[in-house]
Amino acid sequence: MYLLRLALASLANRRFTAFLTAFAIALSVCLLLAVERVRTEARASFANTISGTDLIVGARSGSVNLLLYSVFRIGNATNNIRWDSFEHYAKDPRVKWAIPISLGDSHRGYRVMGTNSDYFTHYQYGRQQHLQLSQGRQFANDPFEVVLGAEVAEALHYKLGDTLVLAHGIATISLVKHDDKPFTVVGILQRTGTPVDRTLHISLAGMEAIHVDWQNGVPARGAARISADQARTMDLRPTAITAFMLGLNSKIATFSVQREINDFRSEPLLAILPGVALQELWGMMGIAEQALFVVSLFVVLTGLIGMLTAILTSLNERRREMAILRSVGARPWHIAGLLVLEALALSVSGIVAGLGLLYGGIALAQDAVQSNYGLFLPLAWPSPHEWTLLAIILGAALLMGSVPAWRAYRQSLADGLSIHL
Amino acid sequence: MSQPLIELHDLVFAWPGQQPLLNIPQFRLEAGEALFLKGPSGSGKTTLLGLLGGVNLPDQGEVRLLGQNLAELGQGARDRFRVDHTGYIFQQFNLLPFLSVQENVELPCRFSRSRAERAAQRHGSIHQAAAQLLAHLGLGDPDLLARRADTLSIGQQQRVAAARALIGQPELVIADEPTSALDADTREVFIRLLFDECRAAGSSLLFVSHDQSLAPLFDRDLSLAELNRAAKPREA
Repeated sequence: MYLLRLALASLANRRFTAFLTAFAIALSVCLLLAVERVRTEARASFANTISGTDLIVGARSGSVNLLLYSVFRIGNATNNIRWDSFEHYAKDPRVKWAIPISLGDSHRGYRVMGTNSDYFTHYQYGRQQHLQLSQGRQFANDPFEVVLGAEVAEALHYKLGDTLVLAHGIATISLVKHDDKPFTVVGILQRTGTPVDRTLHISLAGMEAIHVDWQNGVPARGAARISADQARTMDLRPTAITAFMLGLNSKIATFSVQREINDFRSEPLLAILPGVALQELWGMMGIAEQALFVVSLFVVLTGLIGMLTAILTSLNERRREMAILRSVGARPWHIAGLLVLEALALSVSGIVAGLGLLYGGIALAQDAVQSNYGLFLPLAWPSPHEWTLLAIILGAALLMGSVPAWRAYRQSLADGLSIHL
Repeated sequence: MSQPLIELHDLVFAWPGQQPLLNIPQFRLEAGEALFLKGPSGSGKTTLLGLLGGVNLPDQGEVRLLGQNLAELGQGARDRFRVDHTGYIFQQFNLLPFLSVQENVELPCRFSRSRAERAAQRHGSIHQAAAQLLAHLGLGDPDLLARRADTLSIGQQQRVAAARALIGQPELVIADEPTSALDADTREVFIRLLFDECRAAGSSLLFVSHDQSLAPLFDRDLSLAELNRAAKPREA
C-alpha cells in the first residue's frame, strides 16, 4: 500500500497538527468509553447488589425508599416494624428463610446493621453468591461482637480482636456514642462489590443491648445506666426491627405472599420485589445516565469535526503536493484515497491512543473508584458493545474524511498538473 | 518515415467562455529529438502542456502521443497513458518535501507498472535505477539519497526532478521552465546533463522556456507564437 506510506509521510510532515487532531479524538474516545464503562458497570453492580431474595418487607412507605435503606444503606426507614410481625412470616410454611434487619446506628460514616446468623447463610448477591468470611467467624452468643464488611476493615484498618465504639444515628460525626459498650471485631467479610462491604454487622441482641438503657431516644444517666456486663445477662430479644428479607419455597407464591403482607391486619407493612424496585430505581437514574452518554457522543463528534477542519484547511496549501503527485502518475482517485487514508490514520491513532488513555486511567483510578464509589472497573478487553461504538466512530471518521477527499478529487481534476505558485 | 512522438492536427482550444487560446494547425516532435519551444508566460504554454498530458481535451482537432489519439481514451486511461510515457520537470518545488530523495525519484514507478518494469529491466531494480540516474546527474553521494528532498539546494532539487522524469525511460520528457530558478552556469550544466540522460534513455525532450539564449543548445527550436494562430500580436 504505497498510498498509505504517502499519507503517513505527509501527516508526519505536519506532525504537530496531526498530533493535536489525533489527541482530540483520543480524548473524546476515552471519554465516551469511560462513560460507557462506568454506565455498564454501575448498572451491573446495581443489579448484582441483591439476588435470591424474593421479597423485602418494611414499614409502609415507597418501594424505592424501602429498597434504598434496606439494601443500599441510603436514607432512613420511616418507621420500625414489630418483631412479632417478623416472626409471623418467618414461621409461615411458604417461607424458606427470613432475615431480620435492624438499622439506625453507624460507625465513622459506615452503617451498622443488626441481623442474625441467617443473614450469613441466606443472603445472596451477584450470581447467587453467598457472603464469605475472609477472616475470623460470624458473631456468636456474645452480643458485643461485630463482623465487618471488607471496605470498612480496609479503610479503617481494623483487624480481628480490635474493639470499636458505635455511634447513635447515621451522621458521619455523631455526638452520641455507645462508648460504654464497645464491640470486638470477630470476623471480616470478603469483598462483594455491594453495600455489604460498607456495613458493620452485629447481632440483633447487640443492637438491643446498646439501646437497652435508652429512654425516649436519649441514653440513660447515672444509676439508670446499664453496663455491658449487666446487659449480657438480660433478655435481649428485640421488640422491633427495621425490615426483613424473605426467601420463599416456591417463586409462584411470591405475588400472593406479597399481597398478603401488604394487607397485613395488625401492622401496615410493605412488601416489594427487589428486581422490580431495582428497575424502578434504575429508571430514575437512567435519564442522567443517558444524558451523559449523549454528551460524550457530542464530544466525539467535536473531535471528528476538528479532524475535518484540520484536513480541509490543509487542502489549499497542499495543492502543490497534489499536482506533483498527479504529474508522477497519481490519478484523482489516488488523491482522494490519500485523504481518506489520512482521516483513517488520524482516527485509528486517535482511537488507539484513546484506548490507551482509558486503560491507563482505569489502572490508575481503579482502587480509588472502588473504595470511594464501590464500583469495580475491570481492565477487560472492550465489550462487543464498545467495539461497536469504536466501529461507528471509525465509520463516522471515514465519512468525514470523504468530504476533503471529494474536494481534493475535484480540485485535482481542475488543477491538473499545473502548480500554482 | 518513423512515427512522430507528438503530433498535433488542427488543434483548437478555448477555456469555457473565452476566445480560443490555442489554434495550432500542425506540430510534430520526432522520436529522440530535443526541441526548444519558446513561450513567454501567458502564451498558452501551460494549456498546451495540459493538452499534451491529456488533462484537458481539445475542442477541435487531435492530439496524438505515440500515435494514440488521447481523445479516444477515457479519463483514467489518459492518466495511465501519461505516466507510462511521459516524465515531467517543472520550474521548481518539484519534489514532495517529506519524502527522501530516493523515494521522490521512485515515485513514477509507484504509479506506472510499465515504468517500474523498464527501470528494473535496465538497472536491476527500481532502487538501483534511482541511484544510478542520480549518480549520472552528479548526485552520487549515498547519504544524500536518504535525505529529505527539501534539504537540497534548488539546483540539486532540479536534478532530482530530472532523475524522476527519466526513471523507467519514458518516451517523452516534458520540461517546463526547469532552469528558471537556476543561475546561468548551472543552467547550461543542467541542460547538458539532461540531454545526455535523455539520449541514454532514448527519450525525446520537449523543453519549454521563455529564455531564448538556451535555444542554440537544442536540435531544433520553435516559438509557440509562430505555431499558434490564435496568438495575439506582440506588444511593442
